[in-house]
Parts: sequence; structure tokens; C-alpha cells
Amino acid sequence: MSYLTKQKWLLVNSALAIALILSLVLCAAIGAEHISLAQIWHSPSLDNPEAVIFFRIRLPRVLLAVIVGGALGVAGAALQALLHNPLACPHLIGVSGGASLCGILALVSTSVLASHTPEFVRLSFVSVAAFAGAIGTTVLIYRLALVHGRLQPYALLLTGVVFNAFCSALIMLVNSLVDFYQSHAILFWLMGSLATHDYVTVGLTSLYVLIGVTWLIAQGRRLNLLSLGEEGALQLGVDIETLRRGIFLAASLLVGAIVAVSGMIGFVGLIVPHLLRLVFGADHRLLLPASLFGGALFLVWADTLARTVASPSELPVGVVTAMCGGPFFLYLLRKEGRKVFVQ
Amino acid sequence: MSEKTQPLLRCDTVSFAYDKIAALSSVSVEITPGEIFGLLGPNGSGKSTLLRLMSGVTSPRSGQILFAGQNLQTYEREALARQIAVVPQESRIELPFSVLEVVLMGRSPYLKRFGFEQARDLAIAQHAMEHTGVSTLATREIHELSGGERQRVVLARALAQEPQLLLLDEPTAFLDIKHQVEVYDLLKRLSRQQGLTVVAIMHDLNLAALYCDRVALLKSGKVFAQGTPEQVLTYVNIKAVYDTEVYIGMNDITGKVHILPLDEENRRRLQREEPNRR
Amino acid sequence: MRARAVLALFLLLTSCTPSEPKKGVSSRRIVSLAPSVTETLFAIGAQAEIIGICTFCDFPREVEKIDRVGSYSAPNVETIIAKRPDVVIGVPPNNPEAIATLRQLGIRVVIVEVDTIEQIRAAIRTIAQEAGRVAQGESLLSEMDTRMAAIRARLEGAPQRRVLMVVGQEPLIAVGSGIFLNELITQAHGINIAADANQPWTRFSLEVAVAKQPEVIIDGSMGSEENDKSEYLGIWKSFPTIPAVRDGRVHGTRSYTVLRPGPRLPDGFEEIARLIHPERFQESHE
Repeated sequence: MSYLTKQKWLLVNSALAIALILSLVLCAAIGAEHISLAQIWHSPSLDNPEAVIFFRIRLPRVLLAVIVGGALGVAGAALQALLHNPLACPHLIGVSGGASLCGILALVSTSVLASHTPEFVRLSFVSVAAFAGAIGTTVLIYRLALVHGRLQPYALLLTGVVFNAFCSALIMLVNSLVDFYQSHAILFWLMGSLATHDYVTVGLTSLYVLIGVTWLIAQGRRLNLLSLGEEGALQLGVDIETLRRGIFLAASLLVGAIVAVSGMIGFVGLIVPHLLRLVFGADHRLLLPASLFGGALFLVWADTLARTVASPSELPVGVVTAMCGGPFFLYLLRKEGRKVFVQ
Repeated sequence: MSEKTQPLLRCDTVSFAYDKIAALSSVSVEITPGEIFGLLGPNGSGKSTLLRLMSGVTSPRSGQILFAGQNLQTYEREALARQIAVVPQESRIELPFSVLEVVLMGRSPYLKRFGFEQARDLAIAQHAMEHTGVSTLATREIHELSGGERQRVVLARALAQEPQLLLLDEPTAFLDIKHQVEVYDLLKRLSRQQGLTVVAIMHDLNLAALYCDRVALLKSGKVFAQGTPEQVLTYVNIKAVYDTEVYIGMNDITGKVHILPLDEENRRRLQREEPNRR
Repeated sequence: MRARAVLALFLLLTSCTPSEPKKGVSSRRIVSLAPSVTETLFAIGAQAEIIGICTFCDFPREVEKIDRVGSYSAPNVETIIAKRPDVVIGVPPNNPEAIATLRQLGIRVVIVEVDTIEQIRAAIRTIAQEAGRVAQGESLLSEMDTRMAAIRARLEGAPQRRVLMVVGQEPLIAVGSGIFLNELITQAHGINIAADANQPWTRFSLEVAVAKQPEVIIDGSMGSEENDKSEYLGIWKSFPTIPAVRDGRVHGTRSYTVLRPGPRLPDGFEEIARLIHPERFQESHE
């Protein structure tokens, strides 16, 4: 079918949602330690170590993977539409760089706070700092990317890339100044981590992400028209400037929060929308919700792999997504490249 | 009956400038319903600017534009999209939409907020594709098409909008002669049979003479001449606006003027033989 | 390339002055690129010979007077060369490029491995040799051996306890195997539950940590022992089924500086032993 119908929309999204729910259950049952769900069902109290593992370690982590993956998927799809580039990724706009930098600065200075501050503040200080960095970066990049008062995609892309490079350099600088242990902590932060024990974090993040992705998904039809170019979209009734700003802000704030909570996890926002587009078509009314489920699916399985493959050690989840994503990306580039150059 | 005499689109002493550079100065043009109107003039004369103003995406610095008697700026965006459609000169679509999907986007102004295209929308889109001869390309990806094919797809999309007024910016720039004629034949048919009003920027003066009911010749942001092709496309006007000498003749078959450029040798010969041409 | 040649020539000329003895006799010019090397040199009485140390060298207090030549991972080659050392002593990985450059310029660079206790002992011997204080080195080693034996004696017959030693909570980084800390845990009658990760430092699975039920947790990220209150437990607070958490046996260390692979090894050993078997150390207090 070369166009989107209501039936197709319902079918694809239902199938993906069901797959996601099944994966949630499966992934919560799989881990470095063998636990039996039936046993937990019988004695769910926290005196039972298996219940502790399930409720305090696995479940929050799997839920966070779903939220982070979904957010990255939708943000990626929306940004690919904004930047007119099917190979763009959410970290490209520079917000991740700024968030990472602030998070890392907070990370290396937490030792100063260690003795004086309550635990909750200490643990969330890094995330709060990273999120503040994300907001600041969003505003800064927005200002920098305005050309004649309008947000141009190419300017946004360039500004993001340069800003990321700048933040990377600063992070390298910090890395060279700190000691061995802090340097390792920085490295691990940069590779991403979905480990969380805090349902409050999971809850707040879900709420936040839900608002962001709902708005973005609702822009589906307008995102289609956006790809017709300025003249085409304007003339079909789309307020391009407002739409561009809205997408940039929504995607940035989503990505910023995600990086603050789980560090840099790459390739999800790049691969999932691209793959789904190849399978289900480019219509954003379907692509965005599908990327929500697809991103969640990809990340929840990637994280399951990360925490079981090298047991009892764990791989950083960013490594797993890169190892799946990298070769796939190169393969796509070759395939797309041939197509583009034929014209 | 008074609708027939009232112009569909009227530009009243319209001016526009990009930063400090004046693009249009005090331009007044009237487009009658059901006519094919040509916008002619050399590069930089303001044709594209005028077309943009007519589509309502930008507003003039001074003067006003009235569509069906009402100021263009007062129309709601989507309502306007149901009345006026634009075919830009070039379309680059980076995402892999199918041809049918692109044409269906023309139905967007008619869809509800979160609605999907219905059978009627599909029928209108298919109809439009048949008109522009791209039906067989319906399932192909837009990237796979040649420039000319893409242009016809974009035209189909504009037609799918079911507009009263169709604005085109050099619609046949990438087309070979067969398809050029096909496009203009189509536009003429639609205008005669369905009352579609067409305003097209054209570079080819002969096609303009052949198909247009009236034309406006622009020079440096001002209307140099306005009227039927015979009235406007004269040796004197063309020399004044395009700074080149041409031979104006009458095409026996079509009954329209045709304009032929002259090469250097013949220009000199003519000057020697007929120094006082009309 | 030319700059290096000029530098080499300069060194050659300046080192030809007869007032600078080369080897063997007491005044050597030594640069230390690692904290444990610095401590060792002080412990064998060679502090007067140290002409440059890395920025993280912080023990003993007298190091404040010594010039710094760059960090552990980024030693400043120019500063080192300007000091005209007889030998530069470092610990892997340091900075391989800087090491290579120094060697190319004809400076003697000695790298000592200090992962395991055996290596630490060999390192002390090597450092003593380079400093021309072999006898002092041997006496340091036997002093260390005596102290370690005394601690082991105190632990005689103590029960094996499951131990987890970590240096970070998020991510959870634990001491694995193939490193002296693991050996100290084992010698202190502890069973390191992260040992089968087969790496010195492992990003450890929290699930496994909970499942293996450690009886003692030594958490280097928690700060000093005095602040060992429950609100500083961090993530451990969420897992009351872990025996260490349930019984209040989650301890911070005074900081990882005491756990250096050098002459203070016995101090580190005592600290670890004390945390695992406090009942064996009731009489004396630090």
C-alpha cells in the first residue's frame, strides 16, 4: 500500500505495542541472575532476594529503557524531518554535548559535596546539572542558528555539530585534569547507563517524556508537509516558522532530559526511525508513534544484552547500541548513497 | 453575473522589497476568472516576487491584494489553501515518499485535524495524476523520478487541492517539448471546462503567445505593459524590456503571434534594409 | 625531528661535565611519575634524590616541597628533560608516547608493574636498585612482611566472609581479580564475590551483587569511616536483604590513597582486615 490508511495505522501500532509489552515482561525476567517470576508472584515481599532483584533492580531499569528508547525514537524521527535528512540523529543538534558537559562537571565536583549533602541531592545533582545544561544549550543553539530571524535547518545542523565538537573538547580537557577514578567515571557516563532504582525518577521522566512525545506525534501531518519545502508547505497552510521552533524545542528538551538521566546513548534515534521508514513508509503520522514503540523495543533489548552478555560484568548500553547501530548505519549509507547519486 | 466581471485576483499598487532592495514598485494587475494569465519579463524583473505575493505567503509592503474581493491577508491559512495552489519552480523532497503520497498531500487542507485520507481524496488524487500523466508512477519513490516527472507530480498535487486559482513558476522548465505542450494543453482544458484560473511565469514568449489570454510584461519591478499577447509582445516592447531585437510574425495555423530571435548577421542586415521598423 | 636532535646534542654536551657522577653512588637524580613510586622512595630514605614528581603524589607531607612534572597520564616531557634526571620511574600505563620520547632522548626510563603483591615487592626492589639503596629496599620489604604476617596472625582462624569492594556506585565498579586489592581481601579471610569477573576492575552487575549476599561491603565512594551513617549508603539502602546492609557492615574507606600499591601496603591490608573482621582488632584503635 503506497499510502497510509487508518487500518494500517491501527495495525502497525497495535502490533508494535503488543511486541513492546511482551518484551517488557521477557526482559524483566531475563538477567545476570536467574530468577523465577512464579516464585516472586508467590512471595513478593522484599525479604525475598529474588523479589528485591526484580522490583528494585530489573523493573525500574527495564521501564527506564522503554521511556528513554521511546523518547529517542520519536525525537530522532522528528529531527530527521526538521533537518530534511533521513540520516540525522538526535544528538546532532548539540544539546547532548552541552548536557554531557554540565553533567560531567557536576560528576567530578560531587566529591566536594560528599560529606555535607543529603544522599538524594548528591545522587540527583548530576542529573539536575545535566538537565540545566540541556536547557541552557537549547537556548544558546536556538539563538546561534537563527538566520534573519528564522530557524534554518542547515544552520541548525552546523551549529549543533560545531557545538558538540566544542563540548567534546572541553570534556577531554576535564578528563585530562582529573584523577584516574574520576576519569573512569566520566568515561562510563559518556557510554550511557540505564541503571536506576528510583521509581520517582522513572515516574517523573515518563511524565515528562509523555508530554513531549505526544506533542511531537500530533505534528505528524505537518511534518509530512514540511518535507515539501518552504514554498510548498507554507502554501498548503503550514506555519513553518512556528512548527520548526516547536520541533526544535520539543526534541531538544526531550533529548536533554534523556541525556541527564541516562548519559549518551547513541544510534537509537538514528536507526529506529530510518529502519521503520524503510518498512512502513515515510508518512510521519505513522512513523512517529511507530518510532516510539520501535525505539523502546530496541533499547530494552539492547540493555538486556548489555547486562547479560558479559556476566557478571555489564557492558555499557551505549556500546551495545553502537555495535548494532554502527555496521547497520554503514550498510544504509552504501545503499542510500547509490540511490542518491543516480539522479 | 457580476462575478464574471469582478476579477478573481487584484493587485492594487503593490510594492515589496527584500531588505533595502526594491523588488516591486506600485504594481497593479487584474486576473479575470477562468483566464490564463502570463507573467513575463527578464530575470530580476520581479515575477517570482509577484507570484509569491499572489499566493499569500508574504504580504506586500504597500498596496493590497484582493482575492474574490477580500484582502488576501484576512483569509485563514487552510481556507486559502483550498482556493489557491502553487507549483514552485523546483521541488526537492529528501524523504522517501511515494508519488501517490506526495499528490495526496494536496488534500491536506481538506482533512480534519487528525484525519486520514478518505476514498474521495484518493479518487481526486488519482484523477489529478491522470491529468498530468503520472498515474503509472503512483507507487514509485519520488527520488527515483527525473526532474520533469517530478514537476508533473507537483502539478498533480496542486490540482488535487481543487483550487480556483493555480499559480505556476516556470512550470515547464525541465520538460521536453512534448510535455511542455501537454502541460499547457491540460491547463487550457481545465480553464475552459472547469473555469480554473491560471497565472504562470513563463520564459518562452511563444508559448505565452499561444496559450495565454492576457499577459503582463514586467521590467525592474514595474508593469511595463499589460494586455493580450498581441498587444504586449511587440518589437518595441521586447526591445525595451529584453534589450534584444526580434522578428514578430503571424503563425498561419494558430493565428497567434510568434516571436523569433535574430542572430547577429540577420540583425545587421535588417537594420541596413529597414531602418525604420515598427 | 631536528628539535629532538638539537635537544639530544644539548644533553650530550651538558652531561659531559665531570662534576655529575652517573650511577651507583648516592646522589641520583630521580623523577617519579606515580604516587606509589614516590612513597617507596621516601620509605627507603631516597627522598633527597627526588627532583620531580607527578601532580597526584601526595604522601608523605614533605612532597609539597618537590617540583611537579605533570600528571600521571600527561607527564610534561620538557619539564622532565630540563631537570636532567638520571632515571625516570613510572607505573603502567602512564603515557606511552611520553615514555617513548624520553627514551629516544637517551633518558633512562624504568616502568614497574604493581598490579599484584608479587609485582609490588619486585617494584620496590627495582626502585631501591635504581636509587642505589638495595639494602634499605630489602629492609623495607622485610618490615612490610613482618607487619603483614602480624596482621595475618591476628586473623588466624577467622571465618571466611563474603566481601564486595567497590570504588563507585553509579556505575557500580568493583574490585575483581588479578589485582593486589583482591589478594588482600583473600588474605584477610574474605571471599571476593566479584572475583570471577576476571578483570581487575569490573562494571559489576547489581543483580549479582544482591544475589551473592555479601556480608561486608567496602565502598570507596562513600567517604571516610567517621561519616558512616545510613543516609550515606547511597544505592545500598534499597537492598536490605543484603547481609552487609542488614547488619550495618557497609563501610567507607578513608580514601583510596591508603590503598596504594607501595610501602603502605600493610596499612591497606590492616584497613581491609579491620573492616572484614573488626572483632579481631578490638584492642587497638587507629
